[in-house]
Amino acid sequence: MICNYNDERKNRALGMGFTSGERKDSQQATFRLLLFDIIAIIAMPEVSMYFQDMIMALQAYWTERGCILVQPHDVEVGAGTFNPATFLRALGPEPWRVAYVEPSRRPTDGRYAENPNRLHQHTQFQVILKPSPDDIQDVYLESLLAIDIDPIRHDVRFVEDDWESPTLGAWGLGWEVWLDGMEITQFTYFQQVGSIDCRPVSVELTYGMERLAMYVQEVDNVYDLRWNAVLTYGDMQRQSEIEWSTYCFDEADTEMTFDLFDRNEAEAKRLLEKGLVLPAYDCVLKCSHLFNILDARGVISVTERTGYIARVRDIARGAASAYLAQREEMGFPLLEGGL
Amino acid sequence: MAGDLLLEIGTEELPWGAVQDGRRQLAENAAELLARERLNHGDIVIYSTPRRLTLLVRELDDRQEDISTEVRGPSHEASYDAEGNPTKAAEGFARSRGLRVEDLEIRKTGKGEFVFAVVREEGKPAVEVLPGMLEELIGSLSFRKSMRWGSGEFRFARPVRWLVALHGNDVIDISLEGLRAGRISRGHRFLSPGKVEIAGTGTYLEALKANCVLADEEERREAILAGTADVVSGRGMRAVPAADTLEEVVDLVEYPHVVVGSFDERFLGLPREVLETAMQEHQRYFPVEDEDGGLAAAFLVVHNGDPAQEEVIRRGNERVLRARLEDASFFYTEDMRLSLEERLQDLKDVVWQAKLGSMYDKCQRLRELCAGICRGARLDPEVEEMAERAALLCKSDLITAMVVEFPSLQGVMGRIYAMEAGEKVGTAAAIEEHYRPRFSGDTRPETTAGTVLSLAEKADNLAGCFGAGLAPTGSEDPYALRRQAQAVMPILVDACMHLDFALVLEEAASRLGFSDPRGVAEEVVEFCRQRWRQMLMSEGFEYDLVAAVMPTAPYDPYDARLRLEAMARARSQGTLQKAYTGFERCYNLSRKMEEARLDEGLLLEDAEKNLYSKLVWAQQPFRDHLDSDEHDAALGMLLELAPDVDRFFETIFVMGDDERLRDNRLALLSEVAGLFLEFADFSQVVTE
Repeated sequence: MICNYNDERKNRALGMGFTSGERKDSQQATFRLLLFDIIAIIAMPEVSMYFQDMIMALQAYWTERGCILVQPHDVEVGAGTFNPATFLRALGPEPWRVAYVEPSRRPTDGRYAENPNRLHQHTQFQVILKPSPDDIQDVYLESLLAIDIDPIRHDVRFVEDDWESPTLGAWGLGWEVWLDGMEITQFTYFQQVGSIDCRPVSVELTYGMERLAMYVQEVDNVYDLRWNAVLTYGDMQRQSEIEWSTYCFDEADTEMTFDLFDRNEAEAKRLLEKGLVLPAYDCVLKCSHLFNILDARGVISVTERTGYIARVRDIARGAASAYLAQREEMGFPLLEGGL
Repeated sequence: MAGDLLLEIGTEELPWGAVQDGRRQLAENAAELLARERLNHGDIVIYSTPRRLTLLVRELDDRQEDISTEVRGPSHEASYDAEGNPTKAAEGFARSRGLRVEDLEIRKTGKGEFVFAVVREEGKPAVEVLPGMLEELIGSLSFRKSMRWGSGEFRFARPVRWLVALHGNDVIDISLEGLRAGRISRGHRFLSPGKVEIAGTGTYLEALKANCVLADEEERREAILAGTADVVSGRGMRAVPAADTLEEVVDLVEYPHVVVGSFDERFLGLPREVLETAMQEHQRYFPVEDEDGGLAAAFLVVHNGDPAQEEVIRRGNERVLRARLEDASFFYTEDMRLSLEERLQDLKDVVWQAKLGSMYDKCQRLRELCAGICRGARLDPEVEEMAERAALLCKSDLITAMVVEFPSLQGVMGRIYAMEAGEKVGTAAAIEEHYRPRFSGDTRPETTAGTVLSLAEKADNLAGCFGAGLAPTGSEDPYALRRQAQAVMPILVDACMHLDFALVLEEAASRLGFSDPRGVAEEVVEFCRQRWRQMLMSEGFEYDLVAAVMPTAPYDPYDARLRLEAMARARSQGTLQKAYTGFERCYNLSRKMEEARLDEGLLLEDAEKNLYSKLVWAQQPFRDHLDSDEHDAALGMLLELAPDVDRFFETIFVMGDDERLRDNRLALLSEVAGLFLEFADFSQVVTE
């Protein structure tokens, strides 16, 4: 079955998968590409699923179960939780079901593309279900089948993990899901977001896509992952990892970054007073990311750290309560019938 | 008629701590509620897995016990008139108790005859009482961290997904936020995912076992130990699970199987502690030793999966461990680029506590405190040199990559990196030992330099936190000051070290820059005293003796311990009472004396002359014995005085008319009592 599956992928890569735009290329270019692909595919070991297929499979799985599909937020975030589709939507009584990919930046985790497991930017697949369904564990486990992992053939465990984000004033209880000892998903029942009690409770599932793909494709180095039939993760991301690691650890203009932090903080406060909740929240995200860069640059001492985190938390709280007030004023429009 | 009661609370995977909390409370609270409800029963048994907490009460009566209460009413005369008809008073009383007046009984009491209302309350059938009681029981469980889920308001450690409640073979109708109890349990999440019907309480364990769940904790522990022995015995290896890892793993699986994995031998070049921590701390693997007691390049995983998938599970876990060991290996090499001494400057940026400066400052203070302790305890210059050196280096490992990744290796990495840098063995050992004891029941420092640094660390922590207003309150003790205070006495006792710890505290407080170092030291001393009192009493020493030896000034905990042991021995040999009697007579008479000087020339009678010469004879050897830690012998000298005290009181009337003679005799008694008090506060001793 795995073989057939691969054949199908190969066919797609050998022409059928290209978009019409690419077909406008000259015959020769197409031919060269084709030849290159054939060589590459023969040289590469077969894998059961490509990186991008796994993302598509999860999108299909969760949208079939009533999640709306949204896109990554277009502001830098450290995790899918920061996306307003999670942070803001987890607040208040309105039901919500969403799934999306979130490229997540962790400036301190960058390793100049020299470490097989750590990345400046990794890919989260995020699912939020509010209220948390009673059979959520089973539904989650079934989603693993969609990405070629049969839980019955492994040791899958729910290992205690209490999640807390001091910058977001958020916490929840849940687990790390382990697959044969490896953490593949964060599974959290939100209890508070923006220091506001979550009623009802949302459940958040965060799949670490690189980890999962490394397991499924049986590679030990993230850069060896097969993105599709032609390209590896390294082809796609290596240069980005090197440049961003250099930027965050060595080159970021700290004076400018401090300044941007202050200005975005002030802007968030100003916008909150004007009732512009969503633009204010984007400023919160910018502050959070700027703080992460300063942290990676090593220019924030341990004592100052707490202070900066508290400043971000304050405006995050402000955005949370403003959002809730705004939704209430609108009469919580998703309450009746909802999605 | 009695049948067993079974309550299974089915949950999503509970954390280990929650299973422990749940087990304990389920047993305690059930016993309490059953007693309150007057439901007699046999043993209470608790089963648990990560997905269930189960209470089994054996032989639960199916009715509450009957009770009768008697209430005294008006007197006989007041209750019936001359014709024997009930009065208004009697009628009113009967009515107020819900009885007819003819039901009242007349009884004789010590104060005459009265009418009594005897109200018999018949026990209700258990079936009526149990639903409310079990719902209350579930609600009574509380956890260190609890949560809500879905749209509900109920809180539990993790979501509750099913309930089984049976009395004998009958379902007890209870519900929890829309969840109704029945007889349907669940099997193993993967190996037997269907519903499991529990026909009756007697078949519970069996039914679950048939569905790949070992609900009995003990059975799982045995299965893990047996599985462990199985997989390593043939290979000449031995598993060395840490006790707490084993206990935790028991509660992380429903159907344990043990698989052995291996890792590349090149990782054996890493320190053993690093390998063990990488295996145990996060992954909960068991390390394995080879025949020589060295670490083997292997590990054990207790898994919850299908034994038939062993190969896949082994490979997966091997990959995870490989990545962790690669990381550790990288950290180790990176860390070695800078010595602990070279890292010292970077500690200026590491805050110990916001109000108390940096780790760099702390190291400087510790070094000075070590010097002070070494002088106070009259230790060798060599010890002092090692302790001071260790003080300077003892916090540098906090900023190594390894300790940042594995905080539990603090101190251990310090020792390892110090050895690599060519520090003396004693210095390296002191670095590791200065955190000890790290938890209750942990070992204490073994080397003298380690003892010194450990005391300095505790003095600095205690004085610092108390001075900055961070003393423990109620159950909150984030800096573990109780443990540290308590440890001071046993550490000094282990090292046979006489030290005035109050002085060390005062020096610490003054080096921390507090305006009233003595005040801070006194506060900490009082705190320490409370801890030691509790500790000594829990060791079995009697309250009065503990109170008698609690040190004042000089504040020498080791000495207090020696005195206590000598007194406890004397008590068990029956001699303490004799000594005490002698002390008491002298003390009671003389203690109100303002001040008196003893004039030898005024001693007239033989008995007082003898007592005086015995006192003079005893004084010096008594003090010599104390100085050389011969407390039994010192106590023996006091015992020698007892017969002379007795004879004194037999023949001499102290409170005579001659004021000068009287005061002189009181002065003599005061000196005798004073010698006893040099040993301990005998006035605290309680006699039969």
